[in-house]
Amino acid sequence: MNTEYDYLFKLLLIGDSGVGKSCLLLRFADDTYTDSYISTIGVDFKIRTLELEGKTVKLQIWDTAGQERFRTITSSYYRGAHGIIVVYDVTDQDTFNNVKTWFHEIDRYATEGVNKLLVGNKSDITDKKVVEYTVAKEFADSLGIPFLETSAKNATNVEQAFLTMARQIKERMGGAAENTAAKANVNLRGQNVSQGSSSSCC
Amino acid sequence: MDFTSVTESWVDGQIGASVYDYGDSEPLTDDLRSSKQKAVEAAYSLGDLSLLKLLAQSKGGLLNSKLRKQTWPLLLSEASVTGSDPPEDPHPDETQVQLDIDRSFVYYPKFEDDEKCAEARQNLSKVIVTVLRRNPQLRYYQGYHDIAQVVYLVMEDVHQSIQVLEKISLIYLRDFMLPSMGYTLDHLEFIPSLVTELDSHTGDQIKEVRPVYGISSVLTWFAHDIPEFDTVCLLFDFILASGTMATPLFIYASLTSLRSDELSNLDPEDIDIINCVLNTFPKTEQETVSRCIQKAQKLASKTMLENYPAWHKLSNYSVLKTTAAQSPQAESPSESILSSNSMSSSATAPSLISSYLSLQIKESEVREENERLARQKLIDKRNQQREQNKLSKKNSSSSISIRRIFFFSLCIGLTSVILAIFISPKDSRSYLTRHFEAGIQGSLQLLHRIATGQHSF
Repeated sequence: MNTEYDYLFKLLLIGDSGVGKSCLLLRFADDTYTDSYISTIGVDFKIRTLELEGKTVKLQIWDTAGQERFRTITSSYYRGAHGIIVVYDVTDQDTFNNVKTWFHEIDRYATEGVNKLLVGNKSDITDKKVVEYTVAKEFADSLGIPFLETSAKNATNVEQAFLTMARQIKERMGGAAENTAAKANVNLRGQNVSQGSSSSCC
Repeated sequence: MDFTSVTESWVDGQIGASVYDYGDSEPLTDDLRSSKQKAVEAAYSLGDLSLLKLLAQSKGGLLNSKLRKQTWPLLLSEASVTGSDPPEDPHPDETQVQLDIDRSFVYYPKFEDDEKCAEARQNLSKVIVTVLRRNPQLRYYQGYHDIAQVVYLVMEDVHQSIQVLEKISLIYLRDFMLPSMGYTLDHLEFIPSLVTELDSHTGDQIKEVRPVYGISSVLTWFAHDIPEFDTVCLLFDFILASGTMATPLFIYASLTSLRSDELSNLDPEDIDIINCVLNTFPKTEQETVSRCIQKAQKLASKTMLENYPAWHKLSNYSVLKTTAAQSPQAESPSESILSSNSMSSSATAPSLISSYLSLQIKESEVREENERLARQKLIDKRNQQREQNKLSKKNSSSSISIRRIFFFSLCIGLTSVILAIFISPKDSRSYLTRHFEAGIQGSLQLLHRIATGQHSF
């Protein structure tokens, strides 16, 4: 059992193929970036632990394949997620147009009340930007969810995106999600000691 | 040069029995490597497909790209394709192909400059798009480009790569290229059973986890997960020579069973952690892959997919069934060697493959509709539950107030009875007390009879 964290939050990254989901995750989890990244097939995951308001939060982040045919597989990961990040590419209008479909997928498969976040990635490519900040912001506001433009390449807002998500989940869950496993472990150890001593008598 | 004698002397004297399998995990010595190279060349010149298959499945596989370039088309010669010119109409998945082409050739090879890389990507795109346009009934999946990339790097020629990739797609990858993903999941369902066959403890550890973790390895013949070209080629040699799509599953199960130490350290109750570990493909050296192949060979010799429940869920036209009969593992090695020049023995006619495919597409459409309906049903059920939860929340609040009113009235009633007892005249009070006591005694007797089963309603 793990006593290294107070909270364990499971996050899910979804969005069209090629918008940079894996690059965002790589930047957040390993603080690296590479121009040549491979496609995600099925699902992939990374873990990062961070401090939030004096608590240790472990984030287990699942990255998904963007191609539509993989949705049969990826949709089964929605259910266990505490937070879902929908990513689009600010240089590709189609990926923003599809954001609605992704939110629809969340409504269909995720737990009610799951935290959501909209992220427009590749904000460093300013000369090719086609999705205006205000348009996306307006859309996010209409859904009542936070929105950020990020760049996995130069690390802009990546940390903030995941922190926003973690903070939101923590607020929603309150004390309920605090790691009961850690507390149980303490009790269990106590029990083990007494059991150990009694068995040695026999 | 007498190739026949070279082959025989090599088989008999130089490597001996290890020609039949991977033997130990030691790499081939330079001497053995050069003997084997001669033998592959000889078998190729003689057109001895059975021997080529054996060599491809023994230590070192087909050794290098030059030999692979010659041999892979032969290993696929049992099926023929139409080879028609691709129609001009674009395939609906071409946008997705381009997105993956942009992420190809990442681990290998090392290109001299960006121009060379761009050229290779352009060629790879042409290879994939041609196969798809020629077979518009096949859908592209992410990961197909990983297989295509290996084929292109071995064949080094667009036209030949198209030939090889088209055959691989129709004979082996067909199930993954149907409209429904269900066929792919059907393959993965075998993994837990196969792992259990190899190591029951590890099988037990992973049995609660949905075997989706194997998807990238099986869909790409490990090309997605192993960043080393020669190692991937070794696996391709083995799969192509085995002639059955059961092989990637056998290899994957072997690899998982080799992770038994890592898995047994985990809390067996913590499915989440086990799932995370299984989803992380381990760093795999060539030596480990050789051990996996060796294990997979043993597994294939002692078990058949027919023995597992997942077999009965398979479509009759699944590649796992249509390639099963071709498996050389069913034959004994000595027989294979004896039957020289068996190249045209069990040819699969293109018409047969295309009829399998059209039947599968029909099935797949029905299946996709059923899957859609099942998903919808699940969503409806959940929505219904959500509604019910909302309602029961409301109801529970109203039932609380009813309980309060009931409790309040009961208190008033009791108080009135007690008051009545004290206020009433003495005689009637004793009368009331007597009857009250008698009533309690009667009730207790009745309760006792109910409890002991003497009274029934």
